[in-house]
Amino acid sequence: MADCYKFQKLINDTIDNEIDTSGKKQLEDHIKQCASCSMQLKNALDLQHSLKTLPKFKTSASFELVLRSKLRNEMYNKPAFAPFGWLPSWRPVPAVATLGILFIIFGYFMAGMIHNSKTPVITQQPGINGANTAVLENIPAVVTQPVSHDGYIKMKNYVNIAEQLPGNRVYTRELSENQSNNSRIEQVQSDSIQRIMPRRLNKPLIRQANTIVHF
Amino acid sequence: MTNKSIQQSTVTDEELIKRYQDGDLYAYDLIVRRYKDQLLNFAYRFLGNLEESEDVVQETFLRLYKNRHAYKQIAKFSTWIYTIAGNLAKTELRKRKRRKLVSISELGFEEKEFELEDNKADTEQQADSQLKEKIIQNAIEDLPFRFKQVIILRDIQELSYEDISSILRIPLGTVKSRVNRARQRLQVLLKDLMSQENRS
Repeated sequence: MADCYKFQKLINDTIDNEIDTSGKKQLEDHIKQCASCSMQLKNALDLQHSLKTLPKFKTSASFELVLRSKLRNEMYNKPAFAPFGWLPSWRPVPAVATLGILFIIFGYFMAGMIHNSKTPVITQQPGINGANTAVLENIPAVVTQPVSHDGYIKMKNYVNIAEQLPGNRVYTRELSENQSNNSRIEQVQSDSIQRIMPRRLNKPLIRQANTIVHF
Repeated sequence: MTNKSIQQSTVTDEELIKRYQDGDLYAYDLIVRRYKDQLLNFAYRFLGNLEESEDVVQETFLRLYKNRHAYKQIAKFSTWIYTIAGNLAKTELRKRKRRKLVSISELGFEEKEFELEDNKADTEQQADSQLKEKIIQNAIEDLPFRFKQVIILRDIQELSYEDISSILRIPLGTVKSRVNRARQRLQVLLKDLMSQENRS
C-alpha cells in the first residue's frame, strides 16, 4: 500500500513505547486492512522481544581477582607480561635520583678528561713569504674571524688570537667588537694561554680544534 | 557517608565516581560490581566471545582506574563508561580483522566458565534458546558496525536515545533513524528464524 511508508514511524514508535493515543488508533485501523504492515509490526515486536530476552552472562568468578592483580601491577608500574620478571622492578623516584647522580659523576670526569687530554700545543712553522706562523693544536675553541677588507676585525664577540713574535715568544691578545687588530687591549705571556683556554666561550663564531693563524 | 550506606543502590553513579575521584577506592569497587556484567554483555554482543569480552571489560576498568579525573560531571557516568568499553570492543574487532583468527567460541571451547544470570529452563528449552541466541548473535555480528552499535545499545542494553546520542556523539535524530534501519536490516537477516517462530 502506498500509505504504508508513513506507518513505519508509528511501528517504530510502538516498539519504543513512545506512541501516543491518536497514533496508536491510526496504526490499529491501518493494520486491520494491511496484512503487510500487520506482519511487519508483529515481526518487529518479536525481534525486539528476542533481543531483550537474550541470555545475560555474568563475569567469571575470577574476574575481580584478575582485575585486582592487574591493578596491583599498574600501581607498581610493572607490565603484566614481564620477560625479565626476576629483575627488581624500578621505581621512578630512586631511578631518576640514581640517573642524576650518575650524570653528575660522569660530567665531572668528562670535564676533567676534556681539560687534561687536550693540552694545547703551539709550534712554529715556516710561514708564507717568511711570515711568522703559529700552529695551535688541541685548542678546544680558538675563535678566529677573517679580517675585513679595511683591516678591521668586525665581530660581536671577543676573540683570542695567539701571536707568535720573534724570539719564540707567544702572546695572546684579545680584540673586542669593532676594534682594529692593531689595538691591543691586553698582552699576556705565553704561559697565560692556559688561563684563557678553559674559559667558556659563550658566543663563539668559529670553533676549531686546530687552527693556523697567520700574521 | 559510610561504606555501608554507599552500598545502597540509591547512590548514583555520579556520586560514586566523585567519591572515587576524591580517593575512595571502595567506591571504585562498587562501580566495578555495578557495571561488570552489563559491560560484559555489551562487549559480548560485539565480539561473540566471552573471554575476549571479559578482557575488554577488565581493560575498561583499568582505564577508569588510571584516568579517574578524565571523567567530568557534565556527562552521565554510564555513557562515559559505555563509550570506553565500546571503543575498546571496536579496537578488538579491528585487531581481529587483522589477525583473521577463528574465534575460540566458534570452535565450541571456552577456557573460563561463565554463568548465565537465569538458568532455570529445562535442557530442551535451553538447547532451543541457545540455538536461537546463536542465530541472533551471528545476525548481529553480520550487521555493519554502525547498525550493530545502535541495536546493541538500544534493544539489548535498553539505553535511552539520549544516552546513545551522547555515547556515539551523533545527533538524536540520526540515532533514531539509524536504529530503525538497523532493526529493518536485522529483520531481513533473521527472516527464516521469524517465519519459523510464526509457524510454531
